[in-house]
Amino acid sequence: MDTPDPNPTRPDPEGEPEEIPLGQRLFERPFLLLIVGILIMAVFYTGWGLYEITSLTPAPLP
Amino acid sequence: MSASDSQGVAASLFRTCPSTGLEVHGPAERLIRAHAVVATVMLLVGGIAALLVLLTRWQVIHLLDAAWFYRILTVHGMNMLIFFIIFFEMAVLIFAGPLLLNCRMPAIKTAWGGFVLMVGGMLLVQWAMWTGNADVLFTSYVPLQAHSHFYLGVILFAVGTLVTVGIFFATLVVAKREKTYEGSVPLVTFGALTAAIIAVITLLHGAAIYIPTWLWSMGFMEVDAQVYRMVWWGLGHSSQQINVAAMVAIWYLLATLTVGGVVLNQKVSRIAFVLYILFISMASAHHLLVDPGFGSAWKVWNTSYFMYMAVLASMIHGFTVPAGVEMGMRLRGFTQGFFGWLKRAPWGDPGFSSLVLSVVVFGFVGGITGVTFGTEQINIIAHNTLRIPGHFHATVVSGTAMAFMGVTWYVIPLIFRKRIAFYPLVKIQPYLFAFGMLIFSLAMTFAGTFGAPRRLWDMTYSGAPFDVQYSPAMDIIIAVMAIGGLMGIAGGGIYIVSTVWSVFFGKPLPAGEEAKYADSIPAGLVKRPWTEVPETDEDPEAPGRFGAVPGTVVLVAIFFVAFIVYYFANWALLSFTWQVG
Repeated sequence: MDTPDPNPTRPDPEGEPEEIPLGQRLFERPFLLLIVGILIMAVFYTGWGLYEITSLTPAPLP
Repeated sequence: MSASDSQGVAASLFRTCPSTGLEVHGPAERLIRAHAVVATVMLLVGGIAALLVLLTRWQVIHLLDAAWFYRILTVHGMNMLIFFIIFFEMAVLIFAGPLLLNCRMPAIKTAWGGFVLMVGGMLLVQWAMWTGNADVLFTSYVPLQAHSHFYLGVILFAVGTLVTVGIFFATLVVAKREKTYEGSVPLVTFGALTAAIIAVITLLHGAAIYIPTWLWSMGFMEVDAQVYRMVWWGLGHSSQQINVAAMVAIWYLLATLTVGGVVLNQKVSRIAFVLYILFISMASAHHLLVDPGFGSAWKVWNTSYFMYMAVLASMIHGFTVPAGVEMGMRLRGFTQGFFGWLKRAPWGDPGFSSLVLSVVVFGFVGGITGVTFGTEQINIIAHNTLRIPGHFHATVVSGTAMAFMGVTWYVIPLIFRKRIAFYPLVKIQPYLFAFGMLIFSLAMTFAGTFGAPRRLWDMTYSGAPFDVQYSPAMDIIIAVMAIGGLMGIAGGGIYIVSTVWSVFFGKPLPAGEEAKYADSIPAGLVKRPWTEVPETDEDPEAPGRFGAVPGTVVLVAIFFVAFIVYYFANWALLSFTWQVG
């Protein structure tokens, strides 16, 4: 698994640790991106779509 | 074996690429070769099928009978949209993982197992299609039923693909743990990660629908036709979004390799890739816009609101890639006027011409038509007409396949260590292929606008109990479409002949002797523009009236004008069809 870096800083040549921005730290977690990507599709497209189909009222046959 | 012996064996598996300086893991390189070779064979099969379909849709020739038309159309769709593309994409993942990250590829035997599953599944599908047991087209809509081996083959292929994608993720973990790179992964690898994530989303939908359909084909259960369409498009359309992400990653790679293009802003480009991860797969709902089973809220949310975030992402890449090329050229002293950099660009390098043509046709034709057809109201006049294949031939063929072809001209010398056969012909290949496909796509779009249906064996409806009258221009448009298609097929033929000959019978490219063989490898490999930025007296970044990349700003403005004109022209067309009041 992609373990989070407990100390999200990088060494600076001048000695001062450079803080890595939050967005960059998030983007460096491939499994987080994977889970969020699957979830959005599963909820809004597939889940909602299935709900739409299953909640259709059957048309009365002539 | 001692620990030092093991390290020695591990180290001996690597070679240093003389052109790029990358440490290349031998087993990974062999996997790239295997996937690339099978992808090319699939392109050949799909290309032959394309020729047969084209010569049937061209009513003057009308080559195949109805049964064989639908059979070959199925072959064309499966080989081009699934097998060629995904085998190539797996090669891209392996390149962007172990090779660009300078690390070993884990689980080599498992990776070969995945490859064998993909090939085995593909062969099962081929058997079902060619024997007439799967005349169900690419979509295989239920209740059309194929032989159970067809569905089983797709499932095996998907499992094999998932294995390779899983190993790509494992490679990211290995590279990070073994600290084979500094900072963030390269942008090209990030693009490949985006493609890998979309591939997982795609393949999960594939499993969710093909496993029940396989059981249905053996009589074990029922499958609802509407549920099938909805879940299947989570596979069918999203698989083409893997292409988009992989194609954009290749754009950035080709920009670097061919002219030393720079990434203007890593943050912006990565945000655009993340927008793909989050929103692009939802565009699957495009295909269900005229289905009665879904409400407008679901349709608008999936195809419009969220999809525009993915459109925004494409427009970001559509700006940053040419802007990166322009900046790279300006840094090398090509600062004259708006387009001096473009005039002096290496147009004879097939990698560069493929890059430019891929970006332009994908954006101007594929992108604009795709967004327009994704509008619920406009979709009603485009659905199931030739406008739809006109759109996706501009995206998948002129965009993705063109980019894949362009990068192949670099893969052959870099990975296979061979010179390119028939190189003078290869230099014109991108132009022949791209302009052929451009004519083909535009003619299809016009034919669709005049009401020509897609997928149909006989668009004259001969023998039907009704009469269909097309515009008198239709015959000419279809003939133009056929000529464009034949040009594209000729371009594809040059690609296949040259790549196969280069790989299997080509002359070797000795390390460090690129300059000596400049007449048979792309110019980028001789000049290596990515290695240094020559000094220039002018400040290329000094922002003028139109910013630091004025040429790209002008090109983007032209794009927006084209977009607006086409979008509103379609609303005008809709108003002619559907008059209110």
